[in-house]
Amino acid sequence: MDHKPRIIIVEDDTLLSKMYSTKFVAEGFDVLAALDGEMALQFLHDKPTPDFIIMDMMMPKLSGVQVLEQIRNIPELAKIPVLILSNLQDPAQIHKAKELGIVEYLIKANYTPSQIAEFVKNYLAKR
Amino acid sequence: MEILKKAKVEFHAIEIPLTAKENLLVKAVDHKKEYITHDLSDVFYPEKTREIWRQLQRQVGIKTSLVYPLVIKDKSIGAMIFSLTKNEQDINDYEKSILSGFTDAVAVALEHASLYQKLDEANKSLKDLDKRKDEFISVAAHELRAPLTAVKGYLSMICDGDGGKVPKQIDEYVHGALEGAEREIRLVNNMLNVSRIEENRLIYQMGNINLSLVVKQAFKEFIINAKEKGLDFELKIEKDIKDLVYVDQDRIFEVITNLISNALKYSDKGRVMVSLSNPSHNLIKFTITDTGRGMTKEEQQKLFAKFYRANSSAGTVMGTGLGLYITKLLIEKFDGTIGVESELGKGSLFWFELPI
Repeated sequence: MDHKPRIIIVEDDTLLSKMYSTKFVAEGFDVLAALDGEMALQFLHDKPTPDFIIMDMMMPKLSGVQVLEQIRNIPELAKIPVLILSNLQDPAQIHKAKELGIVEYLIKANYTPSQIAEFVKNYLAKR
Repeated sequence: MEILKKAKVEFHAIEIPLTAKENLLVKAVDHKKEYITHDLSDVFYPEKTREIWRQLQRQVGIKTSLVYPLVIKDKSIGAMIFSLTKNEQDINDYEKSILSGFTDAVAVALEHASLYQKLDEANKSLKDLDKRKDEFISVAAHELRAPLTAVKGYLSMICDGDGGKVPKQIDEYVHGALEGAEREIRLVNNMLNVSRIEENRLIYQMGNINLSLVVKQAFKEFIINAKEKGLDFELKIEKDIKDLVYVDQDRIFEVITNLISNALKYSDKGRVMVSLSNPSHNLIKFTITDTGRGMTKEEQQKLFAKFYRANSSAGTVMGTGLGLYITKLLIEKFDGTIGVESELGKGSLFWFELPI
């Protein structure tokens, strides 16, 4: 990667959005914080394409699954790695997200920002 | 039926108000009595005109109509009409008793049908309620975890030194707060798990697993912890052990780490020993013995109950009171048994057996 890794963090809880953004900026990422699914799609539309997306499930306007469905239907966005980071643990929703192709589905409360940053860095380093 | 069609009377569209007190159907319902008439219009009027019914009666050849009330538990739920091509004096008591018996049978059948319908509706609303409860638990857990995620996340960032170097005393306080947040999250997670397991909604990834590998891995995770507490921490696996069990690997790992963590938590000195053996050709037994504070018989009996915490008055040991309950539910889910032997002041032995 010849540029700073670009990440979109889709999180409607402003407290959490700020927390993850701060962490990823400190870890040397270019961060775009989307506060709902529509905003995330707008960011994706405006380009440049991010290297990674972290996304919540339960959000106003468009849910995580709905955003995923849209992303996966746009050829140039179809392969962007998406990590679902949610406190929602509904088996049906998890199954749906996994079917649409995600890197992992992590329960937000079980991980600290540095563990998540570590996870994303490891993933990007392996590609 | 052909004749009825010719008469152009649509029976399904007939409506007779209960206020039509002279109508024989209404009378039968009101007085729970049977009525007999030579004039079919007595049965249907004020629907259409009397002349239409009389015309129909002539076409079909009806001479007598009997109206019987449908009565269930002393309550009228409707009426039956029997139209015969006989004159009234030619209908004998035996025929009348057949009609009356038939009417009673119809009333019972209608009552049953309505009961089934009510039962079906009740069943549906119960299922709906159950679904809404599930949704509530799921959403409540989600909502409870969101602010906790922020508390835990920010505290962990302070601890990680993201905001700069933290003075030792403050670092200690923040670590305390972080531990509290993590415990709260575990509690929410455990409660969510309990409701899932109890309602059989947990999805298990069942597979054939070498239990000794899982035990070794779990054991490894606690070596440092045991050393810090100054405990002798040993693992003994019987030679040539048969250890292939059919379980969910992550869940059995959870069970084992929970038992090891409990033993270390309740032991301040001495020894904690983990072992695996084959008590018979079709069983594998996991045991963990400690030289901790032990328990009375009474405590042992309550140990696996929901929200029970051993030595909760001791103060230094924190837990959610769900760990052993979940452990028991999981072991039983995998067709195993779990138990404890203990003596106050001497230590405890926890064990579980699984079929191999």
